[in-house]
Amino acid sequence: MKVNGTPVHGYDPGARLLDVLRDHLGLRGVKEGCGVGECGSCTVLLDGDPVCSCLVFAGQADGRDVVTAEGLGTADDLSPLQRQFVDHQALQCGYCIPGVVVSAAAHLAEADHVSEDSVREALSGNLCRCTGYSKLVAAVLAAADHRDSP
Amino acid sequence: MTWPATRPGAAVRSSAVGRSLPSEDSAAIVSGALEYVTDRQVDGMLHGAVHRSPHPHARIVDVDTSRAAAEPGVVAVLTASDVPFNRLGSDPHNPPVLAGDVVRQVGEAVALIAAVDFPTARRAAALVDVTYEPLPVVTGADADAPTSLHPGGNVAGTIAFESGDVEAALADSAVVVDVDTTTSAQEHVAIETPGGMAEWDLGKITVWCGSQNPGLHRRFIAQALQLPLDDVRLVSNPVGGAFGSRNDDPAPVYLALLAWSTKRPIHLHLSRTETIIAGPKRHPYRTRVRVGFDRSGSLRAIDSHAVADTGPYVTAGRNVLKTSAELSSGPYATANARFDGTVRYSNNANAGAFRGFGVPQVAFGLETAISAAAAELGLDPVDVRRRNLLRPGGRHSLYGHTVSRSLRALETLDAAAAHPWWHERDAWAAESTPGPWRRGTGIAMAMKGVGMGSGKGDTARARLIVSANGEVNIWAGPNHTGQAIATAYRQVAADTLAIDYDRIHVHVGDSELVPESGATAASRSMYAGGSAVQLVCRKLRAVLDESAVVEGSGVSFDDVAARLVATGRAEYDAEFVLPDVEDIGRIPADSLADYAPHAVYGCSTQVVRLEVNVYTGEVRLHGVVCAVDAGVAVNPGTTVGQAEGGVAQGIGFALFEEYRLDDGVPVTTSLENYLIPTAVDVPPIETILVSGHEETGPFGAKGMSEVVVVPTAPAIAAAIGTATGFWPRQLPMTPERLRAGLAALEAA
Amino acid sequence: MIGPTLSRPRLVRAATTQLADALCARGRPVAGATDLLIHGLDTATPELVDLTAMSDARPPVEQLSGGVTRVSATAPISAIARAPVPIPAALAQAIAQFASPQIRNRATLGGNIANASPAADLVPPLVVTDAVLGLRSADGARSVPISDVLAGPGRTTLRAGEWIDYVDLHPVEHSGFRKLGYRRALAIAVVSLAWSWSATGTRLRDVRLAAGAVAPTVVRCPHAEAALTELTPAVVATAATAIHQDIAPIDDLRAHAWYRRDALSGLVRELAAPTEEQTGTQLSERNTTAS
Repeated sequence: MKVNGTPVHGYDPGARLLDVLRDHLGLRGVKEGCGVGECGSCTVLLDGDPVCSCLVFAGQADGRDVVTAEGLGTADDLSPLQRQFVDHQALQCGYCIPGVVVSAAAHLAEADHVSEDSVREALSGNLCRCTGYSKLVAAVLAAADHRDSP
Repeated sequence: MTWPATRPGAAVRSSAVGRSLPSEDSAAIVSGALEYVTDRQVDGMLHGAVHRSPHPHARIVDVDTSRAAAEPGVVAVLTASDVPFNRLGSDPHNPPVLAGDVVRQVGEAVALIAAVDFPTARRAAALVDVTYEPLPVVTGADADAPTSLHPGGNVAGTIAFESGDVEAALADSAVVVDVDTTTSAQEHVAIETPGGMAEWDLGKITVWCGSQNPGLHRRFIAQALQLPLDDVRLVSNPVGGAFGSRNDDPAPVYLALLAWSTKRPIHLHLSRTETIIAGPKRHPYRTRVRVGFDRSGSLRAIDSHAVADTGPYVTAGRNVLKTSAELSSGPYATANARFDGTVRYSNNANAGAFRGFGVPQVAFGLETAISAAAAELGLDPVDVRRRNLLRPGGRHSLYGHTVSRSLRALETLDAAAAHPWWHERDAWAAESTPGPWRRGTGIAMAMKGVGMGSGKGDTARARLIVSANGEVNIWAGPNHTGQAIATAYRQVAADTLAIDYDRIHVHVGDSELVPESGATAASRSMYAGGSAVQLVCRKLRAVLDESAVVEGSGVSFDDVAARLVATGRAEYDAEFVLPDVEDIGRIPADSLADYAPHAVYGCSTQVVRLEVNVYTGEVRLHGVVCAVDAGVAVNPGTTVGQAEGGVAQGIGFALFEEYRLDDGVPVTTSLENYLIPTAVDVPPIETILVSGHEETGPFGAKGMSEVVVVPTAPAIAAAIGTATGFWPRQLPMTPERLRAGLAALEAA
Repeated sequence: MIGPTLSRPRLVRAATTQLADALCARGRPVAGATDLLIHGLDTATPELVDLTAMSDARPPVEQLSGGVTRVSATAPISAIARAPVPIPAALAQAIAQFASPQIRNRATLGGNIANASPAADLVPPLVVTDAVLGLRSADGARSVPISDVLAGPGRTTLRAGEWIDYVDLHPVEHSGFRKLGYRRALAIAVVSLAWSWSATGTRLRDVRLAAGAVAPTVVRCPHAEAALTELTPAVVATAATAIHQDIAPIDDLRAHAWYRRDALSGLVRELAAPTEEQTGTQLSERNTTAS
């Protein structure tokens, strides 16, 4: 598989994708919050689609593109979407945020029309216990505005 | 002076306080680069796991660790006898670090494993052979329990107080409403589960683990390992949320014990299921409230009777009950008030601190009673509340102490009631479509004290060092567990010092460097920690004033900084002792700390509009208005974020969240069956920051992060009552419970 | 972490062969793995045959002659929802209400059927569209109606080494699905109801109702179907009572049996007054009230 654009080899295909990303590749922005697909903290893109990496066997990502929050932008060079999360103070403890940003990025890439409801639906697999979601939604809507009127 | 623009085109202002500045770690968070305590790793570290009791109550007959120890890769198996001082605290009712003779709840830790990798540690934990002799189970806070969990019985604490003559006032009242309410055990669900790393080096232990009270955890560790306090260092961030769960969390002690025992670095990260089973909960309560009104809507009396289930040990339970007592009369003024509360032991989950700390439970009873009384009196629920509110500088109904002049209960009520979602509620309800969905709007309010209360000597401290190159470093507490408190401290520092924001660096959460500042709890961080920062900065500012350092003048801060360092005037310490109430009212002077009344309170009023499906009992939220009194909001964006997050937790408490046990055995053990709100369950939230000013707080600020959790559930209940005629008394208000209530109504 | 062996056949034929071989080692097929991984790798079957890597797998949705819609049982259900070929409304609505976006990108129709939960979201729509499953094994292919496959909680009549290749849905004039969960995403059904019918004026014909989480399997509801002759409140109320004869709910963690009966009646009653849940417009409606 390719992870954030770099080919990766030598992992156990029967391991969870989450463990390969965190332990094998050191991508610790991929968080484990429940291990059963309920919290979304481990969300990554698999060929552009958001998935819970705790519920994917690494072997199932063979030959495919995996993108994590680290792959969207770095702290020194944030993506426009990540920038909106910072500017909107759309984070508190931040533990869920890398997964939220990944889900939001997939939504912006896929949806022709982005609305408050579509954003809430797109984030419905990412639990956040700090923010009450309002600022997360606002950040994604702002990013959509910039996307649509650069 | 210039400020980083928060977004392109944002106005540049000359003061930091009042600006919504993002936290310093934001860019690292959104790019996944921030290393949380559980992300920390070093080469050669061991991995920990915990063997936990499957029994709610049993005698430990034997612990055989031989199979676990023989597992290849296992380095240590520790049991109660390996802990030098086996208790978390000084009270005999505090929990043990590891259970030795008896287990008193499912999930109680019995043994700790250290192994070369996590799968081995987990496998070995399952190989610890414990022989249990089951004992009778205390399944709730009932007086008729089959056994005593501690010598002296199952009462962990009581508190009772009365002002005026409640019975006489109720007898005189034109309308008396009597409600019997129950609220559930709520799980915190901080998204990062407990854990971290510990290292033993040169006789000193360093633990990286989330904590809302690094000083307390440091003392727990030093006591458990019988080490000098100075040999224990706790670094407690970055951490993924807390909400009260990291007040009494034993994970830092487990880590320290494993590192101390193995003399090797150790990593521990609990699973979600063990966190849910073994972690603390919000205390489940049964609260009976009677309120009496005269015909005109004047409140004659409040009588509140609460029983709380604290689980098997004393952690926060007695203090939670104390806070319930103080806020049992809410933000209301009446001459006759009574509280009678008991906190009892059981074999259910150990309950501890949870945002709101005893207030949501009794406030649900009180607000429900007041809404019902308004309906019975035929009066507007806002009018009834408005005419009975506690006024700034007024006397507390139960204790008679004076409250701060910054109290803005009335303003939060008026602000929420002025919102169209409230005053257009009838028109909105009338637009209901045919079919099962009925519309309703509800309102409720609450108040919550800031800090630990009078007589407690509650103190926060700050330390400041100027470096020769003109940087100012400040170490302050309380700690950050997700609320960007360090950024707010920095804003306070920048305006107090009147030097460039970029020169100021604030550090929190490291017990080696931050002077003891107490807990990130009791809505005290901004108020107490911010005040300490302000005080320490004033000391430096006074020196700068002598040197005539003013932005734009000829004297640069760089020059003065070098001179301060050279002359030994570069370091400052300050402490802020939270003020006690000016007048203690009816509280006996020698027992002030037993009641610990507050001078400073924050308030919130909330309006909820929703629909109820009368066929199925489902509830659909349409919007929440949250008016909150934070004094001056140092960082308004952060304050609004706290309000929105609090409302979401209030929604969970109201509609979904219930940690359930069956004869002491947990049944809601994962996020698949313990449900918290998702993005589609939380409606738009409109937060109104009510203008106010607390004169003892930094730049007029006071705490607000707990009170925002409180009104949500009673406002939802009132909206459901308005929509359907069924007024819920039990949380959470699940579809099944609502249908049961509606069916009873239909049958009647 | 030591995981199971995962083989990834690249051709349909190879999948069938490898599955037959894997049987000797207590192997089993896996697709989205969204249930398998939840229940833990430690106790999972050591040998897994992944059905998601086949290059000759069929497209997510195909239109066959006679109005039959053939849906892949191994494609992620999000791909089924996105496909250019339309699917019956009941299935589309069930997919939209299924778990979360992340899970929909992994979960498959075959997995939801084979898992055989009485609360499976995707099965009631299959029952009301008279779905026929296309099964494959080393012994060959066969077709079986959905109702013949569901045997009980966690049990199907699938044979060892058999996997679900596709599902054929029969055309229906009107259909829909309504799930009652305890929150609006990531919720397991407390009760669910799928329906299909044809309408002439106010009269209904070919009524099919299927209910979830009220019996050991998803069940057809013949008593309620017979009663539901038109969508007037009185007739619907009769059907809402009649449906109790079609179900056998139990008490469990999520609900008591009485509530499942009561709530299912509620879902039937809603048929007389189509709600936002049925039309799928609840989110946009909420937005307008928030503005």
